[in-house]
Amino acid sequence: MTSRGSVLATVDAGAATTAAAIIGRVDGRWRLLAAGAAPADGSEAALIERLAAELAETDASLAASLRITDGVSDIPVLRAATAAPPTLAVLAGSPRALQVAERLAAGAGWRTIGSHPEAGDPREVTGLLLRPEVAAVLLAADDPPGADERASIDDLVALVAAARLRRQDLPVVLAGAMAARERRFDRLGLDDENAPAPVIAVPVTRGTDLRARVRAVLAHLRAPDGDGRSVLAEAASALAAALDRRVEVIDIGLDAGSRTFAAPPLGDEDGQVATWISAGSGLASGDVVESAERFLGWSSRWADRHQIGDRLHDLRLAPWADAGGVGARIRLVAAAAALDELVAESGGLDAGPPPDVIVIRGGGFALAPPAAVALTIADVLRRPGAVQVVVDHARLLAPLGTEADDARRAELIRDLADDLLLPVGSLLILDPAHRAGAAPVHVEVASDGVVLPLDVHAGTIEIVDLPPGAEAIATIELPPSGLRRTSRRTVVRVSGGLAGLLVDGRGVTLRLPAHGEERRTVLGTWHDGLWSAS
Amino acid sequence: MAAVTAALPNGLGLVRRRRLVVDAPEAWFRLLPGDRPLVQAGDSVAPGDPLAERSLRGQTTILRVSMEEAASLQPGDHWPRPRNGAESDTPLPGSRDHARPGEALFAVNGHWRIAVPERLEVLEAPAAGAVLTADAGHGIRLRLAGRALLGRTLLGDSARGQLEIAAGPRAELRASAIDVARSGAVLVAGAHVDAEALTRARATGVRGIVVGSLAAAVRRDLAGAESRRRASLHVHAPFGILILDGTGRRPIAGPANAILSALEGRDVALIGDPAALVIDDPAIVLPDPQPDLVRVIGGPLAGREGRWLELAARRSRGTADPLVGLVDLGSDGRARISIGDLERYA
Repeated sequence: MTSRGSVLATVDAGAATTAAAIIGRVDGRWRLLAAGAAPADGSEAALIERLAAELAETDASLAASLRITDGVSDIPVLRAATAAPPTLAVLAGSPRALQVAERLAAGAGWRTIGSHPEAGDPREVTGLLLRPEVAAVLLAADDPPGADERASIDDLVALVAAARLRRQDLPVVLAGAMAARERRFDRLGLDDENAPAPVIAVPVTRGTDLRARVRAVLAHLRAPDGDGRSVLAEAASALAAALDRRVEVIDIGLDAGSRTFAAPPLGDEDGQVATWISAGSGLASGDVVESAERFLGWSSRWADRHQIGDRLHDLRLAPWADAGGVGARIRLVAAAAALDELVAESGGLDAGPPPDVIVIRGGGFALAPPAAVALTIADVLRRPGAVQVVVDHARLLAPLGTEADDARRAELIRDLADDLLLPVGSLLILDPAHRAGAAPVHVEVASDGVVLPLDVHAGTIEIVDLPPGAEAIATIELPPSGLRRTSRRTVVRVSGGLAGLLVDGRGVTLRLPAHGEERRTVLGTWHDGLWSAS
Repeated sequence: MAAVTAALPNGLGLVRRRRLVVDAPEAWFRLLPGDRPLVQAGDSVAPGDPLAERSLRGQTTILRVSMEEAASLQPGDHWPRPRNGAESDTPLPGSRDHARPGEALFAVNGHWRIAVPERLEVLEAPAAGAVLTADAGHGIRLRLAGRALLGRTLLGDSARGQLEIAAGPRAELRASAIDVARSGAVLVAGAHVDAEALTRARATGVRGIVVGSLAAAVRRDLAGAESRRRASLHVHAPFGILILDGTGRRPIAGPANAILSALEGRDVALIGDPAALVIDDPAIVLPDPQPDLVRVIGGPLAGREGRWLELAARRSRGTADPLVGLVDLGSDGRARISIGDLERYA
């Protein structure tokens, strides 16, 4: 008889749906046994019980050996949850300083409302700080403050201190030159003894990155115990170490998105990890009008902003509904728009070597055809070379990231890596010199003794049927171009997936018409066939 | 690690429950700096009692006061003596005491910034209740007597009136069906209503509309009209639109329609936070939804209602294959429907 320590449930409670899985130790290693998802706010217990029942129907002896047939009420659960991003009021002394301050705050997962003295009078700014949905304040200034900021620093500090006297639950972060005004809060009688929420000063110090420190403070304020997005850093690190590959985890949720880069340990050097959490990069985050505009920029099918505004509005109200058919396509286009926003916002996070594997998560990718998902990733993440795209289909990464014991987390992810990553396929994005009118690039894909020759013309995409688990060698012969008089040959190893191998000849900078029918036509040329084939 | 807790039988617990009715709802009315609460925590209010004076506009003035006065003033205090140093001392018409009201915001070098409202309108209690908190510049929280039928959004103001069913749950209320005879009423407008009907309703003195859905474009038009109204400082009677669902045209859900039908001819109130219709007469019996009733909210069968039978088997065991329920749709037979496209009420 197997002990209860051999079975775990995982729950990833998102804004739209809750995913659960049962994992168990089989033949000395952890395996994914069952997985499913249900609308958020439904009963997690009912979902786990259903999965247990399905497992018992599928493999009664395994369920019995793991004692799952005895009931699941007492099995341990690793649970990760994401909440809607809270609101941060960002105040600065001038429009320029506000822009800098909002950049300081970006990436920590807050929805921000900014103001400066030229934009709002003290009555409006005080009203902003007293709004119940404002959960913290960032007050920032350059150090030394700019000429345009100096005149308003005292007023801003006094305004925030007075607002905090009325809302002592309001944490305040003082960044840059504002950090020197920390004592001003003491003088107004707001010491730690009377005020439960902290005043945190983050001054400029030599040799440290102020933005990173402010971001870390704000990230901790937002989720002191971590949440379903921040724990992806731990999970991605363990995954990178398990695969011994550089990993990028992209999570597009309903009202926020995140990117996490993780590199495995190299010799004596520790692995590296960096995370960016953006409240503006969700499927339906922010203002509906702005979301609809972003959406239309990636849509080949819809042109009516009112219609899309209605769909995005209803997606926010009931994100678990209407997920099939047209709903799946709307979600994927919204995911493309959100990913585009996330990449633009987090620029610089990917400054190091490109990842070997991209792990995607989120409902926007769940129900779309795999080739459409892979192409959507290729549309937005334009890096030359080859990368494998996989889906965290059972949404295991975040719950596994909550495991507090490093060794156990590493063991779980190492054992489950093959089960939790569903291969979508590989992207091969050709050289940046490959432009319209140039000679085609000759590519040979060799797998299992079969060689498939391809001539990839500029602006086209070729899809090679390479099944999950298959490996291939792609030999790329770039024609002479510009100053290079001879052709250049490059060899890369690629992996298969549900979508196979996408060889992308559209150039590293994707050239799309700015907007309108022409843009939709170009996008439709690439995407529409993938949906009609599904 | 947490542990799994008990679940409902036959899989119905996996269907998202939508709560329709809450008892003794807590309503929140936001105030801006300069707005003046007229009630205190612990007060009881009846429908129509003034809760606060709210400003349509405001400005900040700098007040030079003596050191003693400056030291005694706290942020949020009302400043009752404008002639002692405020830059403008014109009494505000509409203010209840005709003294210049002002709210102390903060002080720099002994000079207080005072939020001064430019035009006030009275916020009335839409229903009976008890004041839980009343904070200047922040808001008023009331615990309302009775129950509330929850919607998704309230556009406009909180309001009160006699409920009239002006259109069936699947119908659309047309402008031609609204006349002055409906003045003062809260109209149930069916599945959908257009901007023309809403404009006419407001113009004829209707106090509120309850509707199944409203397109985002109409919402934006209304928001623009409200901004223009505020900019013009023209005071209208309160008018609110309670939207029970989203933007896609759907019939009003059966359980919600049953409650609205039971309320016809009764006084009700509309509130914005939470967005709800308040029923403060405890004698009214509200029908309970059937425990196994489910409503289809997405997909080709959206808007239908039926009885939950059981969870159906999935084709595969992955997250990409949604859980599916078997639903008895009555004369339309049985259907397999993704549980994400269902909601229950009990």
